[in-house]
Amino acid sequence: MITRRIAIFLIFVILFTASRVPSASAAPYDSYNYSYWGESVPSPAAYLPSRVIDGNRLGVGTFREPEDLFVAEDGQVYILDSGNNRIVQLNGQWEAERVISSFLNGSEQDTFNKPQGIYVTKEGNIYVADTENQRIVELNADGTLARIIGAPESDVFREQFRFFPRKIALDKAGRIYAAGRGVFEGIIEFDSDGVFSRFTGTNRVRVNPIDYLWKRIATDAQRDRMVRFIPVEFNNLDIDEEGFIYTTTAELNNAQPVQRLNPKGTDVLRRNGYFPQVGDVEVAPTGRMSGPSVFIDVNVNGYGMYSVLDSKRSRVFTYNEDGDLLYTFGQPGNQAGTFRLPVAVDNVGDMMLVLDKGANAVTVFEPTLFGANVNAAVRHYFDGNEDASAEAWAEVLRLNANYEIAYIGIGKALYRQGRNAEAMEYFLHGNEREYYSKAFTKYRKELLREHFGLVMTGIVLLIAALFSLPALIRSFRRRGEANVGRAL
Amino acid sequence: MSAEHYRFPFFIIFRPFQGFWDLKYEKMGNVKIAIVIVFLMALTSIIQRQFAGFLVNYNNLRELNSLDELQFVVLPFFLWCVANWSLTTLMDGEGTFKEIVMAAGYALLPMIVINLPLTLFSNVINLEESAFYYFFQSVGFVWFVWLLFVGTMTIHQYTVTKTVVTMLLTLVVMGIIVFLGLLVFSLVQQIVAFVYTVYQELQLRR
Repeated sequence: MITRRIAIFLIFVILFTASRVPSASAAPYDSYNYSYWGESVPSPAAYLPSRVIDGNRLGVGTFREPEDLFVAEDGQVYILDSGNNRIVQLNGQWEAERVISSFLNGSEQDTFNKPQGIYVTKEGNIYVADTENQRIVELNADGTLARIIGAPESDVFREQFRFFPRKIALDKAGRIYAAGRGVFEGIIEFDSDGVFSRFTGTNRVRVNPIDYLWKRIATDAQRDRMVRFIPVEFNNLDIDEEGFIYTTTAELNNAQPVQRLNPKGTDVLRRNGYFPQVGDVEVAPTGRMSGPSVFIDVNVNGYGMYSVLDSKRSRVFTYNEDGDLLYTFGQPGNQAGTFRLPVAVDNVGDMMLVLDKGANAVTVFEPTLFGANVNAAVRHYFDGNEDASAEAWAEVLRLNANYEIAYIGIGKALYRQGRNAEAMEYFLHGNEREYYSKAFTKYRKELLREHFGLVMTGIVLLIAALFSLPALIRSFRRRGEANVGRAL
Repeated sequence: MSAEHYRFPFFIIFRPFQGFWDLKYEKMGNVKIAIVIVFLMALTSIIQRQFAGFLVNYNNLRELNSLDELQFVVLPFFLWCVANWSLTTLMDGEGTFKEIVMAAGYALLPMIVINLPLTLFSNVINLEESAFYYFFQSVGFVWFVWLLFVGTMTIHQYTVTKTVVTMLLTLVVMGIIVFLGLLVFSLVQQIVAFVYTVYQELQLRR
């Protein structure tokens, strides 16, 4: 405890005195993480903005309200410039590689109309959710039209149903998943031929008991005029390597705004962190930026990590596989590294990209030493290298002694090595009771074995005490009764 | 004060009917001892909060304040006594305020007797065994409630039903007292603020 306090003190001294450290002073936002107790604890920045890309700098003309961003497997970045109805492709050097603003459909030039979602397959085929044209367009890698997928056809759709796809993603088998505007049944799944197959991952209807009561006592006519109980629609999705779909919903006070859907459509996201994955835990109850975070995009970063984008407070929250909050960055503003209206997040290796619809620009973030170490620790752990992971966590702790998850990470490695007493100390700092209990049980057994004689003596004494206790109590009672007798 | 006075609380917790009868009619009780028990209880709860094993201790130890802890024991105790006295005077209870304090104080003893060793015990158990910890804690609490029930029944000479009703009503009255207390506090605060503002106004206008 004392060493930890000293470490914390030293970190503060370093942070506030050494202005030569550029990363701490140059960050345009405050970085923090949530402790076990729900307090936001200041933390070194994990990511810092390294460059801002806009249309003018690329020489392709200003972006207009770009809606989506996709990083293909080969590192090419596709920006969906919705207001200009075009796709801008960037290469690894952040230069404009090509611009697709129209394609040949049959014999006519066809264009997009306010498209909102883009996905690029491993082969380079570009899928665009062409929202206002109510279709999904697939282009070949060379930019020619491959096919057009129109509104899904099935009996399950209402008569007035109109197909406005917003975001799309494909799994390895080529199945197409689309989140549509006003589609409350879940994510629309097409098979690889573009034929509607089913809805997946329907959000459960949440009913407010008071509303329900009113609805029960209302007449039919009144009931018709009331708001219907409908599930929430998904507003974004991403697919990980295993074909699980990560989704976000923007409904207020939803306990599970991020979900990970398995092939059956059931949410299997692990929520073993200190708090569920809801973004900010400490929020202002009133004011301009009040209330819980509103997620608008989710990105699978690999190694079980994923980032979600909060459009309300313009922040990116990154979680690991277990649901621990790793780091946060970003805030509203007009500086590089802050956003006006962020709409999409993606990653190129270790770098994070955030698309700002309000500023018509993409901001590239690069990890600091701190962020890189956190990432390394999570990756090593994901790969099963607990010792390498513990080393990275130790480095993280050197930079930020308040980083509680690191204590758990080191504790797990120590526990695996059989150093139970030390592991207990680390789990204590990380407030990890389950593992603490495991380490403690082993440690207790060790102690008992080492001090067998002492323990046995203790047990014998204890048994003797237990045997004499009833006699003691009896004598107490007898005296009490005797007193009563005397008094009577 | 003789040794009997110290032994009597232990007699009462094992033989409550006889014990509380003696307390009322044989004048075996002692208010000072009851108060000491209450403070021991406060001490026990502080010790428990601070030193209970990590696996059963969900308190933020960095924010633990022993004086704040008093409000969880001493305050409810006196609230109970006052509320119970106010109620039973209206409901033909035979107990005096002194007897109520003694009955409630002596009833707390099992919680001390159980929770102190339990705090030690909690440091040598793992998560699976913590069920025992919670079990014994509930045993102590149930024992306390049982003693309080018998005590209230005996000192006021009530029937069982009337005792249960009185105890529930006492809880309600405790709530009302707290409410009135907060109301007065807030009103006084407003008055003080008002008077101060007037004074300030006069000062500045001079």
